[in-house]
Amino acid sequence: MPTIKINVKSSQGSVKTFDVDTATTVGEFKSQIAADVEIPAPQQRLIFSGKVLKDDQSLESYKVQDAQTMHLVRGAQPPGAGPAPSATAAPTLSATPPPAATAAAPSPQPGTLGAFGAPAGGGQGGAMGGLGALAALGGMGGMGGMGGMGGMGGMGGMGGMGGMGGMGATPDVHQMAALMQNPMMQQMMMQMMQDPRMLEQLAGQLPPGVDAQALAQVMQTPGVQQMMAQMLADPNMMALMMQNSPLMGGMGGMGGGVGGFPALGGGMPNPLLAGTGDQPAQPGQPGQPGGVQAAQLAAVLGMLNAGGGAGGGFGAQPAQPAQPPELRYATQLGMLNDMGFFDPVANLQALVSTGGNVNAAVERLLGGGGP
Amino acid sequence: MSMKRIQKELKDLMSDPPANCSAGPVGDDLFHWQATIMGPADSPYAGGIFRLDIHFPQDYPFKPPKVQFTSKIYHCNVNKNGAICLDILNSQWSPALTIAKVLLSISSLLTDPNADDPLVPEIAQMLKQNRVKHDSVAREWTLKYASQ
Repeated sequence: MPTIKINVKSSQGSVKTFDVDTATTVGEFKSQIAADVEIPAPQQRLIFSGKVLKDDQSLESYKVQDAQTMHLVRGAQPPGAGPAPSATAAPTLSATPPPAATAAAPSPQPGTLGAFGAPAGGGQGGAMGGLGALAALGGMGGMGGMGGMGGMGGMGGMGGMGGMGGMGATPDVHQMAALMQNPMMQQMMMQMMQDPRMLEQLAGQLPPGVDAQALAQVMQTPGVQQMMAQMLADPNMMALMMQNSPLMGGMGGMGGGVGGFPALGGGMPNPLLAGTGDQPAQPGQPGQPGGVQAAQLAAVLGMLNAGGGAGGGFGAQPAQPAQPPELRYATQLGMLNDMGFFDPVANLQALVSTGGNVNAAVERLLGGGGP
Repeated sequence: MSMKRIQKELKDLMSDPPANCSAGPVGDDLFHWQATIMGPADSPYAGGIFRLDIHFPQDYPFKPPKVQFTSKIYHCNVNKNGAICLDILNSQWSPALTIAKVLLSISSLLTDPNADDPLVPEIAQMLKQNRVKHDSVAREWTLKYASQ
């Protein structure tokens, strides 16, 4: 049986480390600890992973692993020994203090993030309007080489097909907020980010010569309109169609064209993209690229760009030359700020080292460490 | 993405948890956690070990986790079903928050109840009018329902 080190944290916050065999029962472990702490074993309460550990169970059964930390508190005293020690309420407290919650973390600003939590707008009635909004997402698609976002260019394409003029528009935070209200959009983003195959597929299906008229025709097809309406209503629909329907492949292609416009990060060879790879990768997650392979992303985005060109322009601008990172990641910086990350320097650093991937940047900012 | 984010939070919590909170998956489902908050020493909940139930939505962290007490607690911001009235669990949620921060916030809520935005008006009234009695009831409940 392996011996591991377990950190035991007291309620005062001090930590002691103990070497223990994983087959040891909780009760035995308490006796071992008792020599080092002032709480006798019977009064010890060990808490790990949200559970109060039972004396007759082994540490192993709670999946305690090396270098992990458990809590030790003094349990309630036996009946008759009086109430648990507690400071009598200080009278000063009667002045109502501000809710502690806000102190724990920076509150999001009402703008963008409020929208993350907002209920679904959309629905079939607003199908066209919704698609118009989606067009803006094409812009998002280009946002500095973010993998999933590149895929979302496909959604922008649908906006274009709806005859909405959203595509040239520079995506701004408010547009994004509107988009984020749409639960389908969220789902899409997740899907795209989780599944690199989707991106590949999208890229693979780019028809070589899509042009505006053909797409307009496609758009007229009742079946397609219905599909789009359904997609707005059903988040899962989209994922299905992305995988199955060649028609949607075409749409995706168009999206690429539209999304191609701000694809600054993707269109140009961006040495910083390589930084994406060192994002902390978690083992054991099938289908989840640690940091979506930068090269692959660049390739996909490049293809989407090309698709835009083939697709008759759609106002797609050529990939722009390198800009200073604060310009290139202006949108992402705005997003991070809205998420409550107020340190512009750290934000920029995180974005640069993740190739503009907002999610990866958030993880990096949250993680604190990282290369 | 939510899976990865949750795994990261779990890893951080296992290696360096906050002083008075603990949390982890109930079973193999990463989206269903349980947590314990140890009653803060400077509150009438001291000595109590309060259990909570956490459900992560599929689109976490873009939506807040659902967190509720499973231990009974006498507190004006927690109703008898364990629902918690806390802004960051609703309108003020931000993807930048983590379960650790949420639990810490709940823990501070135990120290400083928010009687101006109560879920249980009777308890809030008691808190405002007779703090001593409020605290003694809270202690009694803690001993009765949150000590093991």
